[in-house]
Formats: sequence, C-alpha cells, structure tokens
Amino acid sequence: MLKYIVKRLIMFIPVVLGVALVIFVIMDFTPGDPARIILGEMATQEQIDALTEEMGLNDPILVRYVRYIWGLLHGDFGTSYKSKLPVMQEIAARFPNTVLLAFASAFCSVLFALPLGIVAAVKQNSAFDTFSMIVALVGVSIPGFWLGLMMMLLFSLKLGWLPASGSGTILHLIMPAVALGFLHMASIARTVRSSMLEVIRQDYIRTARSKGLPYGTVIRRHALKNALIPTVTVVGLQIGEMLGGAVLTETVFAWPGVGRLMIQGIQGRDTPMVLGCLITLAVSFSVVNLIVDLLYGFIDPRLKAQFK
Amino acid sequence: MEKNLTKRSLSLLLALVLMVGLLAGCGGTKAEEPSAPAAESSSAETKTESAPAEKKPIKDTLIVAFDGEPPTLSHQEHNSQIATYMNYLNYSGLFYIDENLEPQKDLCVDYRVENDTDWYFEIRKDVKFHNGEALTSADVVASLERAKTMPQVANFCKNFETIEAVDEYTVKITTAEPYALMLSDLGSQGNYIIPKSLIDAGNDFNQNPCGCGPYIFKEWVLGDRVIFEKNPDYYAPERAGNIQRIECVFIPEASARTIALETGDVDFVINIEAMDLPALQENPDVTLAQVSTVSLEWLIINNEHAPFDNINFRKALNAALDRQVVVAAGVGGIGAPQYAQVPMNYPNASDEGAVTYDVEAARKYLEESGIDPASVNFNIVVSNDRRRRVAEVVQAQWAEIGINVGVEMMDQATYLTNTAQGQFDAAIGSFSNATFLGFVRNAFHKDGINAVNKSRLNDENVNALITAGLACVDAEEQAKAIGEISAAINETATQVPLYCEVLTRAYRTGLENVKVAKNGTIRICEFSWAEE
Repeated sequence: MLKYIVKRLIMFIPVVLGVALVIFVIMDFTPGDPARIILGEMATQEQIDALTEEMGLNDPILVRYVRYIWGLLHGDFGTSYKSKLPVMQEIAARFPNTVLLAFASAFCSVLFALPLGIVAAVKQNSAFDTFSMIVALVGVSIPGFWLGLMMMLLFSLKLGWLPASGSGTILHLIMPAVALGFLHMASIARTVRSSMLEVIRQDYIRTARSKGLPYGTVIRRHALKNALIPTVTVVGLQIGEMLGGAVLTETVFAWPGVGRLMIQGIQGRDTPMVLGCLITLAVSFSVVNLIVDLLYGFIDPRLKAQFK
Repeated sequence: MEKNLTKRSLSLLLALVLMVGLLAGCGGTKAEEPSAPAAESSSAETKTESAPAEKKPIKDTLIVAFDGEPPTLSHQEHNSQIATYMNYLNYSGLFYIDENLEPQKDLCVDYRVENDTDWYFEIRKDVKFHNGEALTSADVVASLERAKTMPQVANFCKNFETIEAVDEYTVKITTAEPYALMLSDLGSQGNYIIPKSLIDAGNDFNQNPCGCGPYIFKEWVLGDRVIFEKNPDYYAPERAGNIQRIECVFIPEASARTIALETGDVDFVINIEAMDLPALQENPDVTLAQVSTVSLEWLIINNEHAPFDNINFRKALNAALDRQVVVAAGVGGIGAPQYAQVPMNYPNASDEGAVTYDVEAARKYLEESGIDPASVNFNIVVSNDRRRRVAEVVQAQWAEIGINVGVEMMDQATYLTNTAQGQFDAAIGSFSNATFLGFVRNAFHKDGINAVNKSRLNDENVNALITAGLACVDAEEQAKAIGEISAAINETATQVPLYCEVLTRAYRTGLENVKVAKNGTIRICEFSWAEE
C-alpha cells in the first residue's frame, strides 16, 4: 500500500506543473495590467512602466514560468502583487478555515443525506421517499447565495440565535456549514438511495433475509456497506469541490477562506496569489481523492488488490 | 388511488411548509416597532439618553464593517479608500482634512509662507510615536522624502522641491512655483509622519504600522479583521473619541453587512446599498448619515476618437440626456443630478456654460456637427451592475435623437487598463478629490492623460487656467480662478456628467460624532459612544 501511496504522491508533481502552466497562460492572456491596478488611476505611465519592470512582467512568459517553478521547488509561492506579503503566509492564514468549513459541511450533508437516502430506498415509492426526493430537488435547485441570506434573516435577525457573519467561534461556523452542506446533501442522498436500491435487490440480501436475519441488521451490515462505495466517491469529490468551490458561501458569510482570496486575486490580476490558491486546491483535491481510493480498500477488501 | 391521494396531499403539505418557512425568513424586520426618521445630514443626529451621575460609554468597542480588506496598512503603499480609513486611526500628518474638505492643523501648530514658495511648518513638541520615540522635524523630512519615492502617493508631494529641517521642530518645504494645494496635500494620508529610525531600519510598515495617531495597531487576522486599541499617549485627546478598541471587519456581501448591522454584530457599515435603505430607515436602532459628495459619476467619452472629437456632437450627447431620469431610473433616486463638468458640491464651482437638458438643442447641435446619427456606432463600457443600469437609461434617451449605442460589461481590472490607455469610445466611471483644483488637475489637465483624464482632453485654455489656478495661494484669487476654470471646462463639453454620488453610512444608534466628509471620507478615530 505504501508503494501505491508513493506512486500517487509522485503523480502530484505533473498535476502541480500542469495547473501552474495553465494558470500562467490564462492569466497572461487575461486583459488588465497588474501594475496599473496596484498603482491606481492617478499613477503616471512612467510609474506603471517602472513597476511592471520591477515585477518582472516584461520577461517572456516561459522565463516567468520557469522562475516560478524554481521558486516553488524551494517552497516559495511568490509574493502577492497586492499585499506584498508572501503568498504562502496569506494562504496559510485562510486554508485552515477552508478545510474546517469543507469538513463541517461534509459532516452536515452526510449526517442528513445518509438516513434520508437509506430510508428512501428501503421505503421506495412511499411518502417518505417522495419527501426525501423533494428535499433533494430543493437542495439541488436553491442558489447557495440566496439560501445563505435567508438563513441569516431567520437565525440571526429574527431569532438572534447565531452571528450573521464572520469567524472565530463554533457559532460562526454553523450557518455556513449547514448552508453549504444542504446544497451537497441533495446529491449525496440521491446517490445513497440509488445505490441502496441496487444493493437491496441483490441475491445475497435476499439470502440474508431468508436466513431470518432482522431487516435492520441486513440493511446495516450487508446492504449499506456495499452501497457505500459510490457514496464515498461522491462525498470525496464534494469535499474536494468545497475546498475550492465555497466562494459564494465564504462571500455571503464573510468566512475568511481560500476561495475568496482566489477571487480577489483574479480581480486584481494577482497571478502569484491565483497560482498559489489553485495549486493548494489542486493538491488538496488530489489528497482527498487519494484518501477516497484508500477508503475503498477498507470498505471492500477485494479492492485492496489495486494497491499493489 | 387512495395511496396516490395521500402522496399528493403530503407533497402539497411539504411545499406549503417550505413556503411558510421561506416567507418567514423574507419578512420585514421589526415591523411591529415604531419607526424613527433617519438623519439626513453629514453631521448625523445622535440620540443620547439623560445622563446619570456616573457617566460611562454604553460600549467600549466599535466594530466597523468594510466591504473588502485593505491591500496594506503601510500608508504610503496603496491608494485604497479602505486602507486610508484605517491609516487615519494610527497615523497622523501635519494636517488633516475635515468634513468640509478643509485642511486643519494636526501635528503642525503654526505655519507661514515666504515668497509664495517657501513654507515653514512648526510642529508639536509633545508627540510620541507608538514605539515611544519623540517626533522631531527629522521624522517629517524622512517621511515626506519617502512619500516622494512611493508611486501610489507621490502625486501628493511631487511639487515639494526641497524638504528641510530648519530646527528640531521646524520644517521648510520649498516649491518651484506657488502652490495652492500645499496644505491639502499635507493632509493626504501618504504624507503622514512615521519615525525616521524605522524608515532607516527598513521597517515593513504593513506588518508594523507605527505612527503617532489616536489608535495603535494591535492585530491583523488575515481575511477577517484588523484590530486597533486606543493610544493612551495621544497628543490631542480632545479630538479622540471614548472608544477603547476598534475592530475593522470585512464583509463583502452588501445584504450581509446590513443584516450584521441590524443584529448588532457590527456597529458601523461603510457602504449601504440603496435597496437596503427602506428597511434601515424604519429601524430605530440604526441611524443613517447621508451626504451628497464631490464624487462625480460621469460618462467618459474619448475626445481623441471620432465622432467625439467634434464639440457639437459632444454637446448634442450632453443636451439629449435628462439627468433627473438617469438618477431616478438608474440609481433609484440616490444621487444629485449634475450638468456641469465639475462637481457643484465644491465651493465656488460654477455651472456657467454647462449644456443642460434640451432635446431640441441636442438636435440642433447634431445638425451643426454634420454627423449623421445613423452612422454612429459605439459601446458604453461599464464595470458593474449599477453602471449597466445607468448605461441602459442613457442608451434609451440617446435613441430619441437617433443615436444608437450598445452596452459592454467589463471586469474592473480590464476596465481600468483600457480606459486609462484610451482603448475605448465611451465608459461610465467616477472620480473624486478633496479639492476642486486637485480634481481638475487630474481629470482635465493634459498631464492627467493616460491616468485620470480619460476623456483625454487637451485644451490649451483649460490647461493654462488650471496651471494658473494651482499657483493661486491667495483664497480670493483662488475662488475667482475656480469659477473661471469651471466655465472653461463646461464650454468643452468634454464628457457627459451624470450625477454626484449620495453616500449613505449607517450605524447603531448611540454612536456619536459621526461626520461624513463631502468626499465620503469618515474619521473613525473621532467617533464616540453615548454615555449612560
């Protein structure tokens, strides 16, 4: 298994190089002069030219790319054009918040999606099944931005239970985690339901039932475990997505995460910041995928063969 | 059949429950409470309770919500308004700009001008920086010399030819020509004073923003907040408020900022959206301060491109536009319609020669221009939704005289680059400055081309009048010059002014001494909580 993990970790290198190259090219073609944005409207052309030169932006793209990769190999993500702080410092200050939000929302979505999906499958075509699928449909359809604001109005303004925005305490985490989790709960519930439906029709489930095992035990010990593989895949993908894609939730709730930092970087044409954020997210996504692949082996020992 | 009916009833019930839940969330706030009128002046009303024997402020912390994070706290390395508000907390200058945009003495106790070009400033002797060092003229010289090397703020000290320390508490600044903006330039945050010893040591003023202002920088939690604490050794305690701790938090979403204010999570919101105003006006816990500013929102037309190089065509565009309609339909009535090329909120600014709304006159100008409106084809570039709405109103009105234009949305970075470099025909933008002369120097003088002079006006008469105005140190002469400059710029119809922004600042009732300057600036350091 160690060999498998090392092999997968080595695969991260081309991922990082590829992401860096793609972002470099895209940012280079994107209109908008970083020097002008930094210096503002009142700066003269001479000042802008001088800063452009100072930032090394007059060099060919290949030179800048190689310089960046060289720095990266030495653990240097560069310096933000905007704040002049090391990109690593800016990301390190926010990444724990992003991770916290991603896992808290994943926890929320799994907590509700799992029972919802299981019961919907077990009670297929019942009122509960319809209810759970309506909830899933609502979850998929509601814009996250709107849901966040509605939650704020209800839980902060009307009821006064939770702080409207910001971070720092567990209370601050609840609304963004639930809002983000609700949006993802829908697809997890649907996945659980469909994979459970597939599993409970299998012969071994019928055999277990005919042996006289209680229905609950059959569902819990025989069906659920086998239905978990697609579920784990979906949850893993969604955690990966949330590590980089919670921009709207972070914006609405003023949650200081990497997503917002990246958007600010794009708006300010802050290439080192955008690169730093995307590389961090790409690596995080790859790590989550690796963990998901390793989990397959624990859920279904037959799959451990792939680790060799 | 029965089973289907049950399922349908259940689905209906569920939908109903969800709707009720959502409507509850959407409902108005505190509708049952009596409404209170909002303050509508730059000097906001305060609601103070009768004072008991022992007076104590109702709070000791102020939480201010900004829509973004400052790029840096180093006052000489940015041109961000958010960072400027924070700089006012922990740095001080020889002068500061008050709510009427007048420079007032701060670290300077007295000054005199000799030969119109030699300025002598006597500085306070009782000032200590946050690191404990005493302020001397050497610190002033070092700070201003440093500002000259910083491109973000160099514009505000480029006329300081030499800066010398005459003695320990006197500084002499010499300009090549008489210079009218000396005091207001010294009130700009880029010219605020920092310790020479730290400059010499290469201190990073972003990480260690050491000044001598009323508050001391405590902590910057990246992405979340910046915290300041009261400076116990502040040299002018009578000008500082009674607030012990100020937290500047970053809430990018406008509605979230408003909700945070209503819940009391924050005490002051810098930017309020027009759509949130009605709810806030009804909230007795919130006070509003509205001010018509010198920030002019205008439709910039590139005078170097045809057909905008034709003055009659420019006048036709100006005359065909009803600014009342622009303000009403474009920005929900929150703006002061403007026909003059310069903001009328500046003292002595004149609308003489400005082209006013007159469709018949517009048709006449068009005829005199010799340009067939059907042959005209250009886009109005905008960078946000508000400006897009305004552009659509303009589009509809110009269509009435046969000029058809498109609207093109661009992100802010591209917009800034393209408009500064003249790669556009028409765009909606805005500009403000603490002084009239600063405004026209940047926006209409040839030296502003490739920067703020986006219409790229290069009119010899206007250039000469602005240069002469900048040399008017005498107040009466300056007032006369401002009138002449206004009229000359109005004559050029160089761009299409739309409206002066009306800014709203909102805060928890009980906060006192809130003054919003005519350029929208606030000095948070002067705020106080009411005492109980």
